[in-house]
Amino acid sequence: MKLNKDGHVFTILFTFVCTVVLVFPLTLAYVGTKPIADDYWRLQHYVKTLQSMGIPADVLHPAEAKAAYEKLEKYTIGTFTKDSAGKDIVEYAPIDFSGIAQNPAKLVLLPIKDEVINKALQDTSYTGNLPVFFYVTEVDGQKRFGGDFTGPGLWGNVSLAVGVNATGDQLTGMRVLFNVETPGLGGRIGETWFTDQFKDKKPGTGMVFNQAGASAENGFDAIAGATISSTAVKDTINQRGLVLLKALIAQKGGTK
Amino acid sequence: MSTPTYKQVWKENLNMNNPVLVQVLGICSTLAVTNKVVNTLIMTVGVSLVTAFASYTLSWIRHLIARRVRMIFQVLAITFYVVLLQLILNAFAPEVARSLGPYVGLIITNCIVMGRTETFAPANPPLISWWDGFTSGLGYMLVLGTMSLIREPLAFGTIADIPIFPPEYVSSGNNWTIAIMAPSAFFLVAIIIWVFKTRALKVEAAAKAPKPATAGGTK
Repeated sequence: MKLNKDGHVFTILFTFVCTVVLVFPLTLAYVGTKPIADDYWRLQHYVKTLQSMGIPADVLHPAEAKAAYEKLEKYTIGTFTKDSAGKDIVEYAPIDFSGIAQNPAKLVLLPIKDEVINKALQDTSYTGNLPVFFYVTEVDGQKRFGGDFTGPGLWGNVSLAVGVNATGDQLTGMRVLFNVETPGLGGRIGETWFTDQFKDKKPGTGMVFNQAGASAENGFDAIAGATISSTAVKDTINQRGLVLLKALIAQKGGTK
Repeated sequence: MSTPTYKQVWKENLNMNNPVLVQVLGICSTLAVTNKVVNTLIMTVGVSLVTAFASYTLSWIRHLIARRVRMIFQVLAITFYVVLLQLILNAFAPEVARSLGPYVGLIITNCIVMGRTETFAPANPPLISWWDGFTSGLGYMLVLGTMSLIREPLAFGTIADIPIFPPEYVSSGNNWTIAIMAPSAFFLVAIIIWVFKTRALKVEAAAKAPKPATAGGTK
């Protein structure tokens, strides 16, 4: 029997077969590579969080980074619930930044387990819409506080890891966890020459970028031609990060 | 139409029928990814492979595709290879995948891929279609590579992240911000097209020159 390739039946069947033949290997490839991609994304998160808190870590030593990250005390904001598979997840609600700035007691901290964080990291690997995680640890007998904060950038979310010392008046570091800013321009906020500027800065009333640049105690050099991305970093640190970290210190600070 | 030879296809795609310079296709990514040599290289290799294999696949099943639904198959085949490429990059070259951003996914709508699978693949056998797709990608690589070799030094003082200008070039703010941004590629691609066309017209004129003589007169 000669097939009529212009006929409806043949066209529909052939389209169906082609789709199945092509989509099936793709599904396999996706399932096969997802764990590798997720591992890398989580490792990046561990390393950058540790670096922002002034704890040495790098991607070349994944096991050490993971162990050091797991030692941190971790909190989040939201309410605990279970997902359809019965696993613990946290439902995140919008955060009232100005309310918390006025009254630190409004910040309700939930201790969170690593597997819940890992699940949340996996769910947000393409959007960067990271929930807020807080980290508390001790370095040389002094408390250190850190957190992940997400704010709006030019094209999408900008997520930062910000760390402060025991009193919260000095930054221990900053790292960009996620950004989709213009490659080569705003995207340079992710480069270490930019993020390293924030180490040991004293923000006072807030970080600024102006003509004094990085020479000011609370200043940094913005990226020329990328004002919006630079402002996104500044605002996320000042209006979100520092506000929440101050409230965190009010509750978890002091000496043991 | 007879099947062209491998040599003809190579010559056409890299030179006289270059997808960027002559057909002016794939301009979107030409503007977007040419400010770093490494990104450009990976992007253009990606386009070459996707065009080659999509052409091969479509040429292989060309007798089974009804003409009026051919676009469904084109998009299906192209998407298959692009998603595969994206998965591989995400898993094994995550930093490159991040810096290329959305452009890998956008290979699906790259006009060069669409153009070759629409015109060449349905009319020719699989192997020559693979070759046509691959050389089209090389033609694209030739132009984009040249541009990135000009843009990256001006923008960052480096080539493939290896410094070629002293560090003061960037730290003192003497680098060309415009070379980082897409508009510079507009100027650059226009200049390259200008140079290329001037040369191409000369070649054409030289090829045509003896003709009037043999015909025994001028227009």
